[in-house]
Amino acid sequence: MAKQWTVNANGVDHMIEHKGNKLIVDGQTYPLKSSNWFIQLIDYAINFGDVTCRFVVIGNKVDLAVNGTYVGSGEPYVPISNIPVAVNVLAGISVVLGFLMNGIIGLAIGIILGALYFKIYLKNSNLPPVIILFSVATIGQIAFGVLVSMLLV
Amino acid sequence: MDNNFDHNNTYQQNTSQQTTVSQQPVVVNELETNKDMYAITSLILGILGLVFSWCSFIPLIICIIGIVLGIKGMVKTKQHTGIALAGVITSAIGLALGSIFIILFFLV
Repeated sequence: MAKQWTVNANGVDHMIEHKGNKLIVDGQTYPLKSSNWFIQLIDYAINFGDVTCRFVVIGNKVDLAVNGTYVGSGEPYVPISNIPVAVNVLAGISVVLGFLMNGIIGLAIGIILGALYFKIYLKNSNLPPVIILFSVATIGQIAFGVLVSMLLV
Repeated sequence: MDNNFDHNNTYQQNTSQQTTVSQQPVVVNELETNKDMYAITSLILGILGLVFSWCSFIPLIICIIGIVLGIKGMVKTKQHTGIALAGVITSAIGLALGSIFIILFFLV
């Protein structure tokens, strides 16, 4: 789904558009590259002189932050680069475990969970809530997998 | 005096050139393509391979991939410690345990 924003910087309107894995800024196309193999994690800085924008993708959530505030949610921008490796590991485990236990459905659930871990960490800057959610989610994924296999047998 | 005039004239020319600033947006990827992803993936596969080492052949394949990615991660980052090493170790332990379980399964 394409998303579009218009940013006014020094009296000049600039168009920012997101289409698939491309970012189009004033007609110029930039290919997007996720820093995580399991979940879409993108953070691009777009500078128009005095106005600083951040194009951020976490999972399936796309938003643009202008001068430190997200346009869509109104929340303050928090740098994604500060996320510790542990969150990446937990997200990856949820994705792979979901796929192993429940196939494509499990993979989709794992991706949603992984994106949730990143969002929770960015909101709280705290690891314990992520670990608690991961524990609950893992038990749920395994239980779901066992239930499905019992129903199939 | 002539030198001052020349200097002032040149200085004025420079400032008029400096006022025409480019309005091209600057787009920068703030998250560099993570070289650590090989190490992180190795650790993930190692943990999962270790936990599920008792389940048939699939965890063995996962552990082998984990070892390969861990070694690749160590080569890429030129570091022999940290996450990549942890990934290789957990994958190796998972591989060993999985192999033992399979041997025991065929013996029993």
